[in-house]
Amino acid sequence: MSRAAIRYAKAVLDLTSEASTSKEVYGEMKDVQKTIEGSKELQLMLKSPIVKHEDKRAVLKEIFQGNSKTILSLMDILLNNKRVNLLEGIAESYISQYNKQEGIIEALVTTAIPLEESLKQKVMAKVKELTGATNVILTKKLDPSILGGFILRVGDMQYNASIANNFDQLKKELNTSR
Amino acid sequence: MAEVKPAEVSAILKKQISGFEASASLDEVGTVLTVGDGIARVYGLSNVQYGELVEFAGGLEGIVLNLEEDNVGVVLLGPSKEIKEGSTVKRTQRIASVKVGEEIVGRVVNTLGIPIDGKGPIAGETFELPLERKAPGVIYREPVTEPLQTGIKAIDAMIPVGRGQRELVIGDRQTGKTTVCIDTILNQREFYDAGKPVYCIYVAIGQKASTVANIAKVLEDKGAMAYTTIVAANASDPAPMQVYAPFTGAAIGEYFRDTGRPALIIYDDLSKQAVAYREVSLLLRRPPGREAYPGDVFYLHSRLLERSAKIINDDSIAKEMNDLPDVLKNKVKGGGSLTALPIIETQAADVSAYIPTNVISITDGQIFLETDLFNAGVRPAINVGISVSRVGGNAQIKSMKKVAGTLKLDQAQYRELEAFAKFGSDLDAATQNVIEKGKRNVEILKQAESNPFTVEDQIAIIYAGSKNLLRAVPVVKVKEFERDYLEILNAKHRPILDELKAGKLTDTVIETLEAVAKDLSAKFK
Repeated sequence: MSRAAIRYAKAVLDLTSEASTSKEVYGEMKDVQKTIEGSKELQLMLKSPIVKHEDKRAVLKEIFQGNSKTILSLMDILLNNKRVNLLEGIAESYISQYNKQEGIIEALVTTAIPLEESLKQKVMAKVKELTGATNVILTKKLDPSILGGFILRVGDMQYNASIANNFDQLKKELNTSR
Repeated sequence: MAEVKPAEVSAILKKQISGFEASASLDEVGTVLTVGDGIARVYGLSNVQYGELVEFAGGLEGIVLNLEEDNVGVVLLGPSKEIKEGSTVKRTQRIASVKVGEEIVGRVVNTLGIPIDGKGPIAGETFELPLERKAPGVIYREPVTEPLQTGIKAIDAMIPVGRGQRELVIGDRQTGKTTVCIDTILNQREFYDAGKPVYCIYVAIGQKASTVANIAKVLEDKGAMAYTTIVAANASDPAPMQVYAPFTGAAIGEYFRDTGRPALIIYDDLSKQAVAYREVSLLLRRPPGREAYPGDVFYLHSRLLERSAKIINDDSIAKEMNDLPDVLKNKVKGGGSLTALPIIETQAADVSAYIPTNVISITDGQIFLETDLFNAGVRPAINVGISVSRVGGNAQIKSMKKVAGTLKLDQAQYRELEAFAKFGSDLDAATQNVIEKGKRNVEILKQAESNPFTVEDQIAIIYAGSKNLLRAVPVVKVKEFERDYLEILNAKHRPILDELKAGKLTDTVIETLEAVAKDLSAKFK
């Protein structure tokens, strides 16, 4: 994430907080991020210095036409400042800054089999215990290669309670004491 | 080795497995962005420290060498085959270190201190010592006063090395740099046998594995492995391993130094290490400077060589030493030393290249080896005129200092007049005298490989040379004379040699030496 992206995001967050529309914009930012992340062509086009600004403007208008005025004017500003390549970073930064402001924690849980609701509650409790956060957004991921148990990732911290990890530890133990 | 019964193995395994408690681990992690050329760029790991070890999936370790705004540059200490984009990297909270103990002596280890000689793990108590450690401060040091005998006449007489000194060995390829250093290790056998060993560490950087195996064999055959450790980062090892190998050697040397014992370390060679460091630095996109080396290549060598020191002979002060690892705290003794013999290979005798000038300025003197001398049969091919030892003079024993005092000057004079030698008898007597004496001294200073001389033998023969006692002996017979002369002295005049060894050059000693030389030279007429 570039410094410029963080600054743009901060400005948007300040603006929306004043107008108390930050929650709606938060949802829209997530959409923006998902859209850009999902389309390689869009990423390339935004980064490309060959594509004319007017073409970029038209494309963005077309894709994000239903969004709030804040988002649309952000895009206009970026186009004028020749910084439209930062759009994805700004969305990302906005989301993380909003999360920080509201005390929301995003956690990624990886399991070998789909997670049941009761287990999900337990995992949520574990996250709250580990981080002290009040509001947790849990993303689920399936990965059969971890064999069993779960891996919880919150930011840069990882809580690894998977069977594969236990095997790795056992392997190391047997190797070092040989 | 006793045969291992299958039951024994499974019993041990059973015990290990039953004692194993699987625990969930809480780690700080990051994600690999890119990997290539032995460098991984990692996103995340926001609290990682410079120089910390990190662990990749599959157990491979790396060292953090770049902390940037949005990523961390990690050099890998092994093959990058199993690492993929998106795989996780764990912090280990450890800095790069090596396990050292008494039993590391006689072993061949790699940069991480892992034995590669197939003799199993290092036995006994080991201490985990950091690779990067600050050099001892001024108050914990002492001037160099004790000699480190190399067993090579030309060096011990004219370019003496003291314990705690850093003496550079520099020269083109194939001039005998490694041989000089290996002979020095071999000469320490005498002290090992006397129960006062000088622990030797030979660091091989970027050499062929076969060369290292050969050296290990020579040391083994001559009984030198009993007090020597080899640290090897071969040409096929990744560049970071080659960069850190000298630091591993220094960490091992510091273990002996800080426990009050003398140690000798040979870095063979630092120019290859600098090249490996350049490779790593360029891959990490650090800006290149002169000869494309990074800006801190001087610091790379200066901080390494500063760790060679003579520690003050006072336990209470030595215990306060700066940057002492906790594991060593209650084992510290004063009076230890770490002597370094770094080797630099020059290209076409160009000592004004970047790395040679750097290392020349860091060290306390240098031994120049020259191709021309080597090819002329002067071996070791030391150019006495430009080789110096800036601090070793104080470390020479008294008798040697007296005997060899004029030798360097005499030889310099001889080199100047050598060109006239062709005119033969047209020269005046004084000039001819200098030339004849110089020729014989050159013969005396020649020495075969793996044939170290004891200090008393050295003094005896150099006395004969510098007092011109060989004037009657033909130049081609000087070697023969030397052999017989030392044989007679060792057989019939042992007390005289013992006095020389003790540093005394009394009138009786001088009389005996002159008498023996006179008798013997009569036979060679």
